[in-house]
Amino acid sequence: MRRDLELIRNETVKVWKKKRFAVIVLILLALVPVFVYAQMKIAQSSQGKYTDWRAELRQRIADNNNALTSDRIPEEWKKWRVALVQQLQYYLDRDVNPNTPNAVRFTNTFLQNAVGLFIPLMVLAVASDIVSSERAGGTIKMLLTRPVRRWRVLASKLVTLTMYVSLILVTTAAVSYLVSGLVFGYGGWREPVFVGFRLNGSDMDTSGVHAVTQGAYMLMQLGLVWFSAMTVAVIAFMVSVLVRSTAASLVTMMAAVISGSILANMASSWHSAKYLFNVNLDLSVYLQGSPPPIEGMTLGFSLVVLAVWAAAAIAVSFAVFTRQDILA
Amino acid sequence: MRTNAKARDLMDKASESTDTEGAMLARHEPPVLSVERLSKTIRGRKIIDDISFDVRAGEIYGFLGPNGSGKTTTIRMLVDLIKPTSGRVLVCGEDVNKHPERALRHVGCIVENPEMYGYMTGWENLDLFARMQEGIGDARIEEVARIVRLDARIHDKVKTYSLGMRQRLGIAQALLGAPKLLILDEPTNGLDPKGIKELRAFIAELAAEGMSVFVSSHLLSEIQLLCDRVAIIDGGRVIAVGDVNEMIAQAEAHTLWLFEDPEAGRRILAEDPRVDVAERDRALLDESVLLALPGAVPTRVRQDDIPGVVARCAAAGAGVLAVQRVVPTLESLFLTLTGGERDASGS
Amino acid sequence: MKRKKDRLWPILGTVCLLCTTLLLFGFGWALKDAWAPSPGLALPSPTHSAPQSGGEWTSLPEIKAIAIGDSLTRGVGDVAGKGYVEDSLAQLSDSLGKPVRLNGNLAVSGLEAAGLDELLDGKAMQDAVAGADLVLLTIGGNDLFRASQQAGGSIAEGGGIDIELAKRRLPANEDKLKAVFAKLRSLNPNVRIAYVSLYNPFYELAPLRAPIASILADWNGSAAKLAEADGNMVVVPTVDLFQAQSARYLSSDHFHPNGAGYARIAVRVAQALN
Repeated sequence: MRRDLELIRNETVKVWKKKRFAVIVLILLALVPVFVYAQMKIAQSSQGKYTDWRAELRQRIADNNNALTSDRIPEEWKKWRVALVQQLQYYLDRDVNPNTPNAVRFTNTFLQNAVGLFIPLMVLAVASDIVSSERAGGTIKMLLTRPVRRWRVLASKLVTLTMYVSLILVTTAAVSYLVSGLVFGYGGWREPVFVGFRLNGSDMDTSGVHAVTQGAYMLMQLGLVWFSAMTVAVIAFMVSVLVRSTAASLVTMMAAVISGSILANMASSWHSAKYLFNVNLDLSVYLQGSPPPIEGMTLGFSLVVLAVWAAAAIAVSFAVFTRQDILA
Repeated sequence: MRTNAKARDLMDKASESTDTEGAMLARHEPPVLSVERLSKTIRGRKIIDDISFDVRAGEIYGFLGPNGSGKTTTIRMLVDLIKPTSGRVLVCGEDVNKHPERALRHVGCIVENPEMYGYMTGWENLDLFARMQEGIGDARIEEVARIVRLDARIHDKVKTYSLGMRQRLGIAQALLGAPKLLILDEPTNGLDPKGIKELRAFIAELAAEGMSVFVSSHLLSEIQLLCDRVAIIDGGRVIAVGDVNEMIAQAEAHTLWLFEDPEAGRRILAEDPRVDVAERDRALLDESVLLALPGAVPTRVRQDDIPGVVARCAAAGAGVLAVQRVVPTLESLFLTLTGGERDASGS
Repeated sequence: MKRKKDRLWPILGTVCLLCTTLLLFGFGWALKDAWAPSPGLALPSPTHSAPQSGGEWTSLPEIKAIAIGDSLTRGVGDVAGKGYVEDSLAQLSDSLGKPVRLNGNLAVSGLEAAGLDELLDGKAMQDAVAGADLVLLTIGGNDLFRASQQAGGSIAEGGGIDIELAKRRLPANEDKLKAVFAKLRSLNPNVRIAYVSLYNPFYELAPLRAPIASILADWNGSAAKLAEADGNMVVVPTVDLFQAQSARYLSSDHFHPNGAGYARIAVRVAQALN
């Protein structure tokens, strides 16, 4: 056990010294202010227009209702808008502002938008590299000729990956909160958010709806984002075991993640696509109560699909890594 | 040849101290490394075919073969980087493949290039590998850094190291666990002559302290200078195992003659029944030696007969400029070992 | 050569572990919330009451307007998507010499009078009406024309419009308009209502011109009567705007006005309100 801890320490220190995490923080520091600025512009433009958030919300509902009357918009967009209208109506009826500008709200929205693409890509920066870099650099020969069983070496890498995925997510939330707080203020932890919207065909079932604080919402959302980020990480880990070069494993995974986000937008009629891991990544839709990419997907379904993929990836990683010949 | 002689001295000194009681006892212990009927087939091709040899405690063991003969594959099987198709490798009695965590405790190795993490300092690298094994503290890291004389640069990033320094860091890493067996794969590759000499002396020292050293090389002279015993591998099979010097003695040595008057000299040698002028063997000889003696005549002649032949040449006025015995190259050794079956120009 | 004190691992290891624990906790919470939710946050009961409007326009610092109704208020047919609402309010603002603020264009394309009536039962709409000083309204076009379109075909050619059906339904439709007006008035006793009456989009289709015109005259007339009875309501006539050269002022669908058509309506609305 002590030895295992030392192995984890080694791997953690390696990733750190390689400055992978530093790059991720830099990316965040460069990009988050851009999003904050965009959000600020949106807030400013609506501020001038409406006396009251209620008026703005009414307008949004009316606008969406109008969009729904058009025959030209695709069916799945309609579904999405119907859900949105019903949610906004729910907020309006209970006199709760769903859009108060504050850092917690911004962070929640940011995470929600980042879960499909941005966060997976950041996770890949560590996950795609963690095994293949040892092979590309030849250091794997040093690593595997020490008196430690191979599965322990791989397990220590997996634990390290988990730790970094967590660190990346918390850092993303923290940077987003700290930067947006400069503009929107650091409050909002206790503001209410409604969760538990359930879609029943095209109708919204609000019987299970209850309010939680935005702080709790953030924690739940982070938890769900963590689960999907871990799935991406573990699959990238497997690819990193199978492929010698970091670049190849990174490109493979990026293609998978990006095609997932494309499929999620267009595969509503291809039903068996829901068994792919990459269309199940956006778990936050279930928290928000928006329609899932493909009909029939639920939180439980997506979690099981992701878990099965992750378990398979771990099994393959260990089976291959403990047996493979290090030829070059 | 002169530099070789110097290293030879170092070796002699080292072997003097080898003859301590401890080392003598070690000779009767089970072999440190025991390779038993090892084979490896990759994609239907037999890369390694049924090889066996033992390395005893405190001995420097050479593993000689041309490039592509299976040296590296074998070494990788010794340290569990490649799983053998059949046969087994025992280190201090432990099966490397079945119990790597026990067997590899006794092994330090550098397989091919000593690749370390360039983004960390030498110390951090050593610290990293030290943590993978029980009972290696800061004191030991400091000690090995001093042994390989890297102490001045140990806190610099490895990517700033020269090749020689990296090699030394690799050796430091291999020595961390005070192994019973040190495996070095072509350790002199990329080193300058001074570095090579230092390395030889260093290996001799380690062996003197009771460590077994397993060195692979494709240069016979290298092995000759360094090793006690040798296994010669070719085409995935061990074709000879034994004492280096005995083996070299078996191989036909050549003698080069350089005359003031080459025409006369060649004629005299050709007429002498004790001398066999072997112009055809020129291709087998070490090129650097030929370069030093341009126009020299390669011959085969018994050592005892040389004074007589020299006297005769002198009397005939050929003007002997130099007579030099030439160590056989790997190629000529192969010729001897395989009874001339092997194509001398092949590798 | 002494090693430097290494603080990286203790800090990094602890932080990573804390992050992982936090996220696992969050994940667990999300699962629990999805499948076994706790009662949830008690919300303060809505304390907000809609700001009641009232008083003479002359005494108000600012006129708050809303627009409700169907596609005409939405601005369908105008390539710029503006419709008449913004322009008329801007002109009104100029002539009144005070700001007129649009507190939302809540019109929904395709809405019929019954649908509007239903929308006015929603809290959002009620608040909007209650807080307004002026309501701009169009409704009825869909009741009269779309609902009478039986056989399908292009509405531009007056396709499938069943004149007899439209005539038969007219009284019922007029009752629906009455109900809408009554509801608006009950929601806000002080609000001024501007109803933009209907024009004849089929003026150029000879067979339909006369029958439709007579239906529209009936409808607009009944709206005018309701307005007179109310006292704080104006009916803005538009029939004449689309009689001569109607093609110039109708959009490509031959049903809704185009930008120029809306501009003419805007002028009328502003005049009627001043």
